[in-house]
Formats: sequence, C-alpha cells, structure tokens
Amino acid sequence: MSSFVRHIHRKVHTLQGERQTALDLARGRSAFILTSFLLLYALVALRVLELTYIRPYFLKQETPITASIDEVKPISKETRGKITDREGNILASNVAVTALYIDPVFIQNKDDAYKDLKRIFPSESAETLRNRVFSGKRNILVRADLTPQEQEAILQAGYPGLIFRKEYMRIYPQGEQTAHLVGFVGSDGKGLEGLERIFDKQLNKGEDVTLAVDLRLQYAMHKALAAKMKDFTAKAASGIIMDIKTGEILSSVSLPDYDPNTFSDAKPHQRFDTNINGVYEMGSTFKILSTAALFESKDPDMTLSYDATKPLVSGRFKIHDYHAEKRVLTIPEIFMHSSNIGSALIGQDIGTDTLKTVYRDLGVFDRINVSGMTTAQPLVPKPWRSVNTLTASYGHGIAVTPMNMVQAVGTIANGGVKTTPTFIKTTEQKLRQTRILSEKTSKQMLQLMRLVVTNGTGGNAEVAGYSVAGKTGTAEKISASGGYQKDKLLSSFIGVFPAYDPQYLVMVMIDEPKGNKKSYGYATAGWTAAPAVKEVVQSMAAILGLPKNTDLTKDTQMVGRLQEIIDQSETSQKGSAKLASN
Amino acid sequence: MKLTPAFCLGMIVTVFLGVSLFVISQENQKQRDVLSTLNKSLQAKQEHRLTLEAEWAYLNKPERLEKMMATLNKTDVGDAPVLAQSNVMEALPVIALILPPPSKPAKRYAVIQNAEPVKDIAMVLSQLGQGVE
Repeated sequence: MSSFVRHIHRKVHTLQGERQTALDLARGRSAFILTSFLLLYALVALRVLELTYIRPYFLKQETPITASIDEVKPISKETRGKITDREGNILASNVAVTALYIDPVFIQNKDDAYKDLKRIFPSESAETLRNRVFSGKRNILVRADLTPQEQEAILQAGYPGLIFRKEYMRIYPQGEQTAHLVGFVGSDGKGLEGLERIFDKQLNKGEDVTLAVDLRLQYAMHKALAAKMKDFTAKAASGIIMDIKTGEILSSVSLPDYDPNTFSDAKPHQRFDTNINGVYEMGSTFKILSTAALFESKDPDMTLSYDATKPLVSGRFKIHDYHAEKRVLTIPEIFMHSSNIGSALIGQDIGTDTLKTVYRDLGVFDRINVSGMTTAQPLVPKPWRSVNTLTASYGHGIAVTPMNMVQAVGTIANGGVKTTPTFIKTTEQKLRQTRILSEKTSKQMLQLMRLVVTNGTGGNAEVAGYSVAGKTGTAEKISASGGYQKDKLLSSFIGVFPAYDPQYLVMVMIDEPKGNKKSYGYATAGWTAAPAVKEVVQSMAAILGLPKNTDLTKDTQMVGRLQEIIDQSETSQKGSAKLASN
Repeated sequence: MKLTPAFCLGMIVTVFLGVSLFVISQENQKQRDVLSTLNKSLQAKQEHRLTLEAEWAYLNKPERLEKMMATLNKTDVGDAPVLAQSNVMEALPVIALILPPPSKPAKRYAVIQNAEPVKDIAMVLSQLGQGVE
C-alpha cells in the first residue's frame, strides 16, 4: 500500500501547469462523488437504524399495537352496528351470508345448469330460475343466503358461471317484538324506519346503539296486549312502560305489528306505530292534567266541591256523566267517579288561559322528540272557544299521541319535574331539571290517582304490595261523519307505581274493545285496559325483582284523608236529601 | 480502477446496507403475511361471533324460554317471590331450608336469569322463610 501512495505523491509533485490543473479537477470531482455517496449511505443507515431500533422502541413505549388496530378497524366498519336492548340482548345485527350470483356468459350448457339449480333450490319458482339462467344480463343474484349444504351442492355441480359472494344480511332475532321501535333497513342497507332510520349514520360507521328498552318487559307488555286484543276482539292495542326518574322507555308496543325480517309483506296498518304516530282523544285520563292545573293555579282544599247534579249545557253542547252521581261532588269524588261534569266545571273555574298554559307546559300541545323520533302533531282546537276549555278538561276536543300522555303524566308523577322520554339507555343522571308543577300538586295528584285504584274505576289494576295509582279513560271515537260513536271506544289506563314514590309508569290503550262475558259486557277502561296494566305490573315485579311492600302505612296515609272527605260528603248530602224530602 | 481505502470502505458499507435492507424487507414481508393471516382469521372469527350472537339471541327469545319453561318445568310459580341469579348464593341457606322433597315440585321461588338483583334481599328472604319450621 505504501509504495502505491508514494507513487501517487511523487507524480503529484512532478506534475506542473495544465496537467496539474486537470488532476486537481478530477480529484475534486471524485471527492465530491465520494462525499455524496457517503452522505447517501449515511442517510440510508440512519433510516435503517430508525426502522429497526428507534421506531419499535418508541412504539413499545406508547401504543404497542397501533399498527394492527389500524388494520382491524376496516373489518368492523364494513358491518352495520348492532342494536341491543339495555341488557345487551340483540335486537338487530348483521350476519355474514354467502350469496349466489350467476353470470350466464360463462355457462355453456344452460339447460343442464337450469336443471341443477332447480334440483338444488326446489322451492324457487321454475320461471324465475329459468329467466336468470337464460338472461342476457350478467351477475344476477340467485339467492341471498345460502346454506352450507346448498353451497356444497353448487360446488359439486361445478359451473364456472355460478359465483359465490360474501355479503352481510341484517337480521332481527326478536322479530315482531320490537318491530316498531327498531324498524328495518332496505336492501341497500339504509335505515328506512324506526331507530334504524334515526341512527343510520352512527350504525353505518359500525357503532352499536344500546336502547333503553328491556326485552323482558317488552315481551310482558306484548303478551298482555295481545291477550287483551284477543279477549275483547279489539282493533288495535298499544302500551308503554317508562322509568319516571330517567325518562327511559323500557317498553313500547303497538299492535298489530309485523316481522321486520320480512317487512315487505307488512301492510300499512301493521307498520303504523300508535305510540308515536297516532293522535287520539284520550278521554278521562286527561282529567289528571286538568285536576293538576286546578291544584297548581288555585291551591284548593280537597273538600272544594262542584255541582254535578245536572248535565252541563254550553251552547249546543250538553256534557253528561258516564257514571252519574247526580249530586254535589268534592274533588276526590269527581276524580274517583270520573265525572265529566265535575271536570268541565273545574276547567271553567281555572279558566282557559291557565288550563292552556299548564297543558302547554306539560307538552300536550306540541310534537315531542323522543331520541330523534318525532311524534305526530297533536290536534288542538283552533280557535279555542270557551266550550273547548270544558271539553279539554275531560279529554275531548283535543287529540294527542300516547307518548304525549306518558310525558305529561310522567312529569306529574315525578314530583312536578319534567320527564323527557328517551329510547336510549341513559347512564348518567340529568343535571338540568325543569320544574313544571309544584311538589305539592304532584303529591295531591298521586293521592287522587291512588284513590281511583283503591276505591274507583281503576280497581282492576290493583296489584297487592305495589300500590298502583292511575286513571282510567274511556273515550268514544269520532265517526267519519263527525259524531261520537257509542259502540266504538278507546279505552286506556295510565298507572304509576309505587304511588308514594313512583318509579315506573305503565300505559295501556285498547282500540275498539268489545265487551265479553268476563267483563259483563263492558268495554270500558276499567274492564279492559286496567287488568292489562295489572298483568304488566305483576310481570315487572317478577322480572325486575321488585320487592313487595308489606308495610301499608304509607299507602293508607295517601288515601285515608280522601276517604274521610268522601264519607263526609256522602253522609252530609244524604242528610240534606232526607231533609228536603221531609 | 484502483482500490483506494475509501472505495473499499464504501463497498463494504454498501454491501452491508444492501444485505441489511434485504433481510429487513424479507422480515417485513413475513410480518405482513402474518398480519394478513391474522386479520383474515380475525374477520372470520368476528363473522362467526356475529352468527353465534344471533343464534344466541334466537335461542334466548323470551317467547321460546317461556315455552321451554312450560314444557320442562311444569311448575307455576304464581306470585311467589322471584330471585335473580346473582341473589341465589345469598339465598341458598334459606332455599335449602324450604326446598321441598325432590318428588314435589318447587313452588316457593323462581330464579330468573339476567334479572336485576333484588335490592332488599332481606325482605325476600323473610318472605321465602315464612312458614319454615
């Protein structure tokens, strides 16, 4: 090596002039190239170092599996999210299925292919199959969900033009149980009805939706309603269970219903969700609202009485009582006997403006938004005449959705604090509370509602140990020509329990029930809807493990004072009647 | 071409880097294959899970369970207190006391899977225990 270097040195020293300059230039160039390459290699070396040692070191320190998580995400994004009930039971989910497509271009012997397909799918119509095999089009869907046996048979047949494709199919394991609530998706995977439509975006991102509904309670309600519909040969029935404290809708059933797995077979009346889309004159259950308005505006004593001796006449209207007492009635009596005359007089007493304000505050004048699902617009008289104040006090001349009723009565039972119904499971307690009515009004109303069950028209809703409080409502339906029809009723019952500190609200509505032997021919709410509520409350107690209240002090305290008032009123009027006859 | 020391060094570095890069790219490819296999199996498992979940949901339909209960256990619990599964351990000592002989059907309590635990277990137990000698 040294001789080689010395040789170069000698040469350098001996070179002069032009040659020296050329050599310097060459040297400079080689030095430049060498440096550039070294820099390049250094760069590569640094990058190698980074990739092999530096990056993994940092990855380990922060998120060790970042890379694989990124890779996994798209898989779940492909499938639409699940809809589950509050306990995690699946209400809607996707399953991977194998679909069979046919590309007739790649099928040489079409007759054989047709025969084989007919053998594999004997249930398919011959004409449809033939059309598909002999079609001029390409990639035609033959079957959306193949069984493994069918798949095997097609593989055995061995036609290159028969193609398998993996697809996701939306299924509803609970069938009609939650049909109206969950809704369904179209063939393009877009939510078309129910919460599938409301939460379409979220579900399409692969996110799951957990509903407030409890499948077990939904089943109990469904069963009770179906039985009552059959017993009373009713046209339709619907029911709601709500957690009063959180506003969570634990059950919402509307019958008749349909199977969302085969939604295209459903008729329009089956797809109609009464609880959200139906507006009805609710009848006497509205007395809960008008009586609450009386307590809120006038703060009267329970002994305040109104003369219900004769029907009330206002213009061309004549207001009668269904269970006529024909005497002066105190507030508890009006409520217990469900006196229309008494309630109309209450309405007159509090005045149109106050009644309207309380109704508006309770939310019966407007659509309500339940987790994105908007209820139908209530029908409120326009213009509002003085007679409307009278009729609206006992639930006629104003039509609302069952959900409106649930919200209003829920608010009254919730100590006067607004209850907002929701279909989505709520985990945290709401901080903002809107007070609509005073706590005193709420307590008084619960006393009256309890009285209806212990002494009044709602006796058939009583479940020993669970203190159900509520109100019956039997409304005559309006005919197409305008008048009320005596034989077409809408019977409903709204109950809350336990009366001394309500946790749950149960509402049942039966459309056009016909009386039967068991109900002694009656089709009124006390005989139809109230027993349904009783069945639901019994099931709830068993399902939710609600302990029976064996200590009856609280319960007795609630109605004791009212009982005294009623007894006094009855004896004093009997006395005065005796005097008059003498 | 003359072999200068710098040139030799450069060559060594180049060969070393080339070999390293090759090994790394191979290793990378191998890991990608593993990842892809894992992802495929993960997807298959996810799909399988979805199917199983759906099947589980079908099998656990309240309607079906009720029918099963009616066939398998012809006991009508009536309005006897109902216990959640999570309460059973707590309630065992009392249940043991009130259990009827195996020949007679148990009518005094029912256990419901997934039921909310009874808050006031003491009260239920006192109800269960009533009449225990």
